[in-house]
Amino acid sequence: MSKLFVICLILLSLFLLSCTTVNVPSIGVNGTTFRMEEDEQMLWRNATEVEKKIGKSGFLFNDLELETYLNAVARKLLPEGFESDKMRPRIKVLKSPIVNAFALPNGAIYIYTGILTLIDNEAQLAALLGHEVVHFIHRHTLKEMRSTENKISFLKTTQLILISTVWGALLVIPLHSQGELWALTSARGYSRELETEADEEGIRLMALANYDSGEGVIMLKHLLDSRQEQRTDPFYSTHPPLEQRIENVKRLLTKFRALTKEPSVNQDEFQKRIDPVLLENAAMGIEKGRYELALAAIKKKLAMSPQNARAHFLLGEWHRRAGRDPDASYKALAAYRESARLDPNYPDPHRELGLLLRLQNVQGEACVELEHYLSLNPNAPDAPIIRGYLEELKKSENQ
Amino acid sequence: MKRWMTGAVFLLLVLGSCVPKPSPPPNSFRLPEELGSKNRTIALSPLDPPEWIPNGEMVQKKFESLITGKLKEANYDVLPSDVYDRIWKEMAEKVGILYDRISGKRDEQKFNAVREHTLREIHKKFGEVLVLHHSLIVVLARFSNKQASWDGTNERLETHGFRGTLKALSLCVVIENTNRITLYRKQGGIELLQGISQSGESIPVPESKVLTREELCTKAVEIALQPIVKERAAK
Repeated sequence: MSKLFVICLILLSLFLLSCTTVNVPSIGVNGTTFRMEEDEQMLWRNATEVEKKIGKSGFLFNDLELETYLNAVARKLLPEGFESDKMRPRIKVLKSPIVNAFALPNGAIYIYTGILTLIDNEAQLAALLGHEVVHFIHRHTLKEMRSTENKISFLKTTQLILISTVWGALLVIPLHSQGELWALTSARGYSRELETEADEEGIRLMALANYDSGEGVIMLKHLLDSRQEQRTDPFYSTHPPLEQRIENVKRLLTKFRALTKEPSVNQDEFQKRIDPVLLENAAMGIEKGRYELALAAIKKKLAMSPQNARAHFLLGEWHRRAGRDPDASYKALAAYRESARLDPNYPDPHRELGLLLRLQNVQGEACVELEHYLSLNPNAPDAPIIRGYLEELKKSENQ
Repeated sequence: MKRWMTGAVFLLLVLGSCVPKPSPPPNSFRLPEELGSKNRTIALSPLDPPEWIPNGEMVQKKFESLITGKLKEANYDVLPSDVYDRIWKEMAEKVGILYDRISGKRDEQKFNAVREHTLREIHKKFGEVLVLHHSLIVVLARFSNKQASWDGTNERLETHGFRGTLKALSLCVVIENTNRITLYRKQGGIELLQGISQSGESIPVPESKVLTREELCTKAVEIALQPIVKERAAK
């Protein structure tokens, strides 16, 4: 009987251990000194490796001014008494028309250009950053790793999800160990409990930083609106449904608003900072079939700079590729013409005008546009093909 | 003692419930609408089998015929690969050398130009068609005891007591539209390229025996195209 008692006690203590070890204190909160645990050291090492790989992947949107701005906003969100500079989150931007962001356990936070395009102001950005900052300072990856019962199966799913991002030709980096997969857990999402915590605590942090917490709800609504195109993506599969997240945050708004003295949104500053992202993201969105997101970016750019030739060219591209109404090709032609008018030295609209007119058998005009394109860009990679089209067009015109 | 046991089991069950549950598996991909809609035409691009595979031309014809059959079963009209091939070659000839003669490195700009104009030309000639690319790829198959599994298939092994990975051959199918948007991608496992010796070492399958079993090729095509066939049949 005593043997059985000992076995039961061991089993009991193991279970108790599995329950308690997820209760790790948050980083730098209440002036406590952060002590990294043994398994966490492995996580941080792997996170550093992943960070290096992302750095070399060519996916980083290198804009120092934008990064400095994003980091300044993130710093405002850190709880009072947060530890040294070394522990601060570091925000980086990834070139991809995906509506997502994720945090590595070592504080590296990545935001996709896709989500930046959707956001309207700094308060909404603060809501997004607040969510990711909470994942970091509340050590969610460590908690997730310790609480996952079937680690192998979890990792297999994570691996599949990360590999499947090839679908949208998104962030694809080679991972060489299970540790690196754990470090990237947040790219697939944490458990619903941890995601809810990140939502609630993130909005609280933005309210404490004097941002209008109501904008947090609008940010979530933007995510909801983008869901139609996002449905083929694996991201957010473990997040609670967006409708539920919105309701959850709405319920807490009165409490959060009481924390804010003079709520701000800082729209102008934000718009100015993300300006370089808009057209890059629109072009990527069109290439990857993220048409709604691309259109949103083009519209924002045109609202700020109605005379921007590239924005009009991309609007033409959008109509040509995504337009579903019968007038789509005419709208495309009009947008290309406007682009060519605004910048007479921009070759791309002439190329597209020529190819579209050739498709519509408007041979004379097609020839003019294609010749114009070649005169502006004689060494274009497709110049020999265009010359071939010109020969054909002229031949058929003479017949 | 029985009471002790019952008590301990009950306590463990209660405590077990405080351990967080793992996340549910992610939703599977939705088949893009463009693939599900009726009366679509799919143009095949030619298979380019790896050089080490004997009878490359025969292999190319075999897979093209199997894929065509499967697509027709799903009510697609199919344009044979020579249509795509002819247009591709015409574009490539105009652009010039696509691969560096010494390093073998691809000129990405020229390659993309050829690809884009091939698709545009297909669109001009045939309207809204989709393009199916297929390739034979070497992957790693996990095995344990007497079975290896990969890409929706499995193969029995002669020996047991070992676990690890072995090289295997799969068919990879990618479907894109003429705007170069990838709509579909799936792999179907064909066969193992390595076996395992009694001492647990991997041994290569002789090249002459690779792709000789028709039923394995048929199964790989079925796996790779199954979601499309299923979706179309449901409509």
